[in-house]
Amino acid sequence: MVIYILDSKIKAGKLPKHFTYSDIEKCIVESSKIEVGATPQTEKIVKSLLHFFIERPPNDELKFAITDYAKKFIELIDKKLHSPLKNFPLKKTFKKFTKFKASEIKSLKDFEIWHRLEFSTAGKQTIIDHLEALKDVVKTSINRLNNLLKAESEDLVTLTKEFALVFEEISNKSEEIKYTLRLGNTLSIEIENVTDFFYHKIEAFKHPENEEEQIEFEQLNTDYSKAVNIKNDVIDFFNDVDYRLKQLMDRSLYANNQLRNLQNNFRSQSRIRINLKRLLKFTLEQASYSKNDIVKLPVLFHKKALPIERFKFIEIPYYDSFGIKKNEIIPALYDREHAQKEQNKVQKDLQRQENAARLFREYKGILEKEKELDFTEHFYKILEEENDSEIALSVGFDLFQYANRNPRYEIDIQRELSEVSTTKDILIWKMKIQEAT
Amino acid sequence: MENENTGSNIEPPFKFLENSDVKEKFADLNIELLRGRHIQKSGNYYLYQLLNKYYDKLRYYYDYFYSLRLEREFKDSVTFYYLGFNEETRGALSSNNRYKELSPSQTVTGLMLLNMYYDKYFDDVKEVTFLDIKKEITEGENSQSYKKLWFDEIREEYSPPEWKRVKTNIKNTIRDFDKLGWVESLTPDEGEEIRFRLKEPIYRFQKLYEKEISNFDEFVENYLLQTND
Repeated sequence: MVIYILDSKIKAGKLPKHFTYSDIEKCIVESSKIEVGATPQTEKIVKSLLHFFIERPPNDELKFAITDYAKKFIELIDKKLHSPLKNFPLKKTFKKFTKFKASEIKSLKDFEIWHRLEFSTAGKQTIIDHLEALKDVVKTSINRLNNLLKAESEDLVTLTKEFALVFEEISNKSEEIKYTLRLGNTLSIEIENVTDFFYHKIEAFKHPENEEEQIEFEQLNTDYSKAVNIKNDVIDFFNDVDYRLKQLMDRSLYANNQLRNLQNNFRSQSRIRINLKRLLKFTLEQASYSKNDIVKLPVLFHKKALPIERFKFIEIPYYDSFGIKKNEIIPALYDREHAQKEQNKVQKDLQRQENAARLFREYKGILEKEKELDFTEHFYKILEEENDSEIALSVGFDLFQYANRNPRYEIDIQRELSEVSTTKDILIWKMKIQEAT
Repeated sequence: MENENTGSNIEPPFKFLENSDVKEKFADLNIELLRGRHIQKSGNYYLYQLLNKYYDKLRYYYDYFYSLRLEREFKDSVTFYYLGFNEETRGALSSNNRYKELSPSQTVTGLMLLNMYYDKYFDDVKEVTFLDIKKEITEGENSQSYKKLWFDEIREEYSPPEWKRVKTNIKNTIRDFDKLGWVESLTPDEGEEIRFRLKEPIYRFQKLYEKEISNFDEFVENYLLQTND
């Protein structure tokens, strides 16, 4: 800001080209009146300006001058603030694009020159500048409207008039840009023709048969892809402009709608707005600082409530009954009768096993001694002595197992009943073990 | 006879709950509304559609079962729905843990944000950052009051921890307002950054203080009389 004021004063002839420290000081004071906040220190500012923006002139070292860099910087700001394009017809500058004819493009070089010089440098930049200018117009207009509303003005006529002017400016500008977008469509068709032209060149080229033809073919391919890149760049640009323009139109349309909403009940809205500001001011006066709660309001101050049912979904395990069950130790009851029964059963079983083992050993001895054993007879003898078919069967089974595994013996089982068997409850074949012959 | 025919054609009032679209979304809608959320098209499309389609039926439902008012408001070309209390009763949400009084901090911040909403009346996107709030505190027309309120004393500058305290408090309030659907936070919950969009339902705050705003002078007079007693 200081630099801008200095430059303006020099241009207006109020300050010489080489100015003094006190001139800078005056400009700083002037600038602080515009800017919000405390007046900054002159020395600090001069020091920071000396880096890029002001310098000591070679022949006048006690004074200061604005650097070339600072001049460029001011020019940039000036361009932004007073864009010449705001009043410059976009249509005219852009119209020359429509003169672009695909038939004029004979080589990729021609296309590249057009893209770089006419499109990127001139045309594209012009549209961007116009778009930026339009953006500024929309932004400042909306700010102006917001401020008008803030100023507690109850004069709807002024507001509407103000807005009508602003909206006219916005719509004129956007109309121009929309027009250029339409021209952009014509341009896209021409560019499409150019890329087709390069594509046809590839198609028309015969199949390369030698290295020279191969190089030429590859060159055509490269030209085509470069042309496609240029085409994409142009199309992307117009799409981008279209999108940005839409955004700006949406913003101004919204502002227009808001004004229309306001028109219907401007007086009541304005009163509400004013009272709302007064309520804020009053609430702030009533509220006080609180160390713990940050802000405190008197108990009597109207506090408002909202329905807020707190839903908490907590997954809990399913219990059949409530309350915690103790894991008590239940003393086992001693059933004497059952225990005795079980013990007898075990005893009997053990006795049976012992007797079976004993008898097996005895009969094994007999077999070894006498070289043969008619088991049918002995089976009934065991059955009679022990009164337990299990023992007789077990001894018989063990004996025949033993004889079967032992090659010294052979087993002779005749499938006929012995005479003894006929009078018994259990019938067995005639079974004999004898030494192998 | 005629009466009988008419009678049989009347659909039972809560029959709509059996419709497939209601069955699918009603639980979500009910929870959101009872949580205090304000529902608008952007952000809650399906719930909004349901409210739009069955507004009268749902309005009766909440009145019948909860004694609450299902409200539909239209502000700045946007429609939104919410549950409100009847004047004389808080209905089924009378129990202390089923409603919440706005805290002093929420009241002050709510009023500040509502004023900001009007300050940006013509902006289609009403975005606010902590810098805007800071500017309001340090340079706004109520700067002195804000400073006294947030920092207990009026100074040119405040230390980073002092600002942090204010920032944390405002961030918490924004989080609460986001849950209500009054603002849309544009930053993650964790972290200190504050950036959000003011949404049309913040107008509800104005509705809450409607009486005080419409009859401001009377309200102040009565309030001061009461406090002087």
